[in-house]
Amino acid sequence: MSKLSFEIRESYIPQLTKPSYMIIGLPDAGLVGEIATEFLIEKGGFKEYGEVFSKKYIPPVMHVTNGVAKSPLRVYHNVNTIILHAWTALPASSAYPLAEFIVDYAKKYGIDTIISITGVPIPNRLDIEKPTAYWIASEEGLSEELSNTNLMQKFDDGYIAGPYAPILLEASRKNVRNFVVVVESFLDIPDPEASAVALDIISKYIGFSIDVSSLLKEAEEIRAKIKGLMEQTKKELPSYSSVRPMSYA
Amino acid sequence: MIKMPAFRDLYDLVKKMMEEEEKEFKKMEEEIEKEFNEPLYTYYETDKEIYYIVDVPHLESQSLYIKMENNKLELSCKDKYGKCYHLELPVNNVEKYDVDVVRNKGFIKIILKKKSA
Repeated sequence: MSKLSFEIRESYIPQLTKPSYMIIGLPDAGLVGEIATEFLIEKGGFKEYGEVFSKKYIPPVMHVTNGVAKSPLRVYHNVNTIILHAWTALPASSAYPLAEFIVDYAKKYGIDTIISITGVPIPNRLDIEKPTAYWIASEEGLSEELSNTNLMQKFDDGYIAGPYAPILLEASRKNVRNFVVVVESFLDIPDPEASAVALDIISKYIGFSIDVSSLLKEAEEIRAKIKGLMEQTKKELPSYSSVRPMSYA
Repeated sequence: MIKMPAFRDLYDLVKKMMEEEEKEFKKMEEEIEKEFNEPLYTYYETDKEIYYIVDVPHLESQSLYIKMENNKLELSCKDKYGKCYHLELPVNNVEKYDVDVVRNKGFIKIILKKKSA
C-alpha cells in the first residue's frame, strides 16, 4: 500500500555525477531545513524536474509559482545533488510513507548519501550568536567519516522525532547512507541563522561554494515571509519537536 | 448544528439555524483575525523566570506597548510597514516583568519574574 502512497512525475531524468547526494527540506523545528533548501534552490543553480503527488498525505494545497499551480512537494537537481523540498507542511501521518518513498527514490538514482537538515530547540537561542551544529548518522561507517570531517559535533545521546527520524530508520534498514545536520534553533520561530550554519557545513561536505550572507542579512524578511508556514507546521505536526538531548528530554 | 430537534413554527427553526450559522462565521472570523495579527512566539522558563521571545520582523520599537493586568500580559506593536500585531499571554504567579527589544533583529524578549514561594 505504501508504494502507492506517493507518486512522482519527472519531466526528465537528471544525470548525476558521483558521489551523489540528496538533500531533504521538510518543515519542522524552526523551519531550518525548509529555509536551507529553499535558499539552495534559489541561489545554488538547482533546476526543478519533478513533482511528487499523494492524495492521502499531501494536503489539498497547490503551490503557485509564476502563475502555474504545482504540487507543494517537488524535486530539483544540479550536477550531483537532488533536493526534495516541501512548500507546505505535511501531516505527521505522512512521515513513514514519505521516508519509504525518499529512501526508495534515493536507491533508484544510486544516491550515495541522503542529507537531512533540522533544528534542535534550545531555550536561550536568542542569546547565542552562532548556533552549534551536530550530526546524527544512520550507520557506523558514516559516523566515523563525519567525525573525521570536523565540520560539526556528534549528537551524543538523545532522541530524534518528526519527519527526519523515519528517514534515518528506513535508510539504515535499506543500507542507504543518511545523516541529519542538527543545528541549535528556535522551535516555534523560523530560524534563518540556523539554516545558514547548516548550509555552510553542507557546502563544505559536498564541496560547492554558496554565499549565505544574504540569509543573515535578510533574516527578518525571510521570517516575515515564512510566518504562515511556521503556523501551519505547528498545527499540522503538533508532535514535531524534532530533536531532544537526554539532558532535557 | 441545531441542538433542539423540533420547532412548532418554521420561522423559529430558520431563525435558529441562521443564528447558529452566524455564530460559526463569527468564530471563523475571530480565528482568521487572530492568525493574521498574532506574532509568532516561543517561551521557556527557569526556576525564577519565564521568558517569552516574540518575533516581529521589522519591528517599529516606538510602537511597542505592553501591559500586565488580571493575570494577562497584553502586547501590541506595529512593524515598519504599519502592520499591527496583538498578543495576549496568560501569566500566573508573576511578580513583575521586564522587556528587552533586540534591535535590528525584530525580537522582543519579555522576562517575567515569578513570585517567590
